[in-house]
Amino acid sequence: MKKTARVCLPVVLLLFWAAQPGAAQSEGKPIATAQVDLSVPESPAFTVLGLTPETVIRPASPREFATAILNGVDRNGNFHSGVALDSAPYLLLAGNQVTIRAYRESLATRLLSRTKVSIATAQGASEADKSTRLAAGVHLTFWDKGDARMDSALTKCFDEVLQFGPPISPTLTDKERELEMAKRQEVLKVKAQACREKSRKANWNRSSWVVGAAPSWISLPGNIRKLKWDGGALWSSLAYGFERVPKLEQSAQLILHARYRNNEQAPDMLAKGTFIRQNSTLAGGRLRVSPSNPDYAFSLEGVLVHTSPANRKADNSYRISLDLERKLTQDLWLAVSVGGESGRKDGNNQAFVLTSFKWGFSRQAELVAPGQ
Amino acid sequence: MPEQILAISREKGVPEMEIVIGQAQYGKYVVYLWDPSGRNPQQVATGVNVDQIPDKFPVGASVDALQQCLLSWEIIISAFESGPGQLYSATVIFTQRGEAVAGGRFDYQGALEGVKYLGGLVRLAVQ
Repeated sequence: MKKTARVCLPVVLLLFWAAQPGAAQSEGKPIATAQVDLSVPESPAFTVLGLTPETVIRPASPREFATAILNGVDRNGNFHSGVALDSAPYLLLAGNQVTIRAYRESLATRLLSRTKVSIATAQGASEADKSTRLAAGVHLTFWDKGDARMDSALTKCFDEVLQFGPPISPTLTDKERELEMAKRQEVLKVKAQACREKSRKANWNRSSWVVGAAPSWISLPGNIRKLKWDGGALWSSLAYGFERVPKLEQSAQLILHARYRNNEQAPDMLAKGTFIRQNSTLAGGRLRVSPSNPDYAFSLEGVLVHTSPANRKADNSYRISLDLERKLTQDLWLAVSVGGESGRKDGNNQAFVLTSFKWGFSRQAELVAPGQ
Repeated sequence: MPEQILAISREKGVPEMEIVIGQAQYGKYVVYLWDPSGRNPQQVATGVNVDQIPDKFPVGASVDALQQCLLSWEIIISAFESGPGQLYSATVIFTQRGEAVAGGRFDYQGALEGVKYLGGLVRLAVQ
């Protein structure tokens, strides 16, 4: 096991297990009562930078605007910290004209609305890798059976629980009207959230298909002014939710993933502190299982990797890992990947413990016109 | 905030009101017509944006009966997805004979944290 991993492991395990359900609060209620919420998306730009502990990327519906922060150790044992900004540009720019009726009736509207773009940057913090990396990504969701906007059960639940009270009198002052609406809003928030939790629990593992692409840039000395082209990546993930298969329908999801990465400057495992150019092709699968405790998610991942370094022989290897995600608070997840590699011709097969904090939050309020 | 007056043309007949809820979010609405003193509410329309019924409807039966009446609307918007990063938008549009009524467009938009409860109020002045 690598030194970095050895150093990080106790800290990670401490954090993972110390954050017991009930110790933290999620919107005023103990975490243990919350449902599975892998609501921090795996940013497409993080994917190409290799900063997601999971290699097989999980399809997820985009948000209009989201930010994710990720700190962790990469597969070469180097610590990186990064930030990604994700947005769904169509909804951001033209969303005021996109009604739910148009979304449901038009495939083109759905495709445009689900298209996510992202930009991410990551900085290495170890002597072996001080590089600064930058990536832009685009992520198309062609098909998503778990799309909440298409969920008729969720719509029906909203119809039932979101009720108007008696008409708000026009004789009230503006302030009194605002207060009354705010009061009603808080009551309805709780009711609507219960509908969403039910929907999310039913749809967390539905089948879907995404395709992504991301160009990237790197500055080996870490100076952002010296960014150079670092190739790009194309990938696709196809998720199968075992629909109509008893037991598995509610508890498992199989994700198949393929990725091509070209012209990447990767740390040279044979000469520490130096980089080599390489192309790589990756194919793998990930089986996600929902345990009885909704604050955890488990995945078993297997990946075949074909690497073609410049001026060296191509290499084939495989990688198997067990991934655990632990919800710490709302939108803050700790991800740990424990596994090993085998089959590398250079003999540099490694066991690894990869960790990251995934923290998603929204800053979209700053984009809203003044006065709103 | 001073009372908002919406000038309605007597010649163009009964105005129509349309409610458009964007960002592909769930929405429902209710509209009331009140007498000039702000009493005796009559429900003009109620609906949801997820059915096939157009969210456009006439306000009242006769334009003359609208003189100095108050018209209020309440809108509930709910995000389909959980978590942050959601937006909402709603637009209320008044038209007469298909033409926009001057000052008859009300836009609401912003960050959506689960549910947004909106409302608006105008006094109708028939001219």
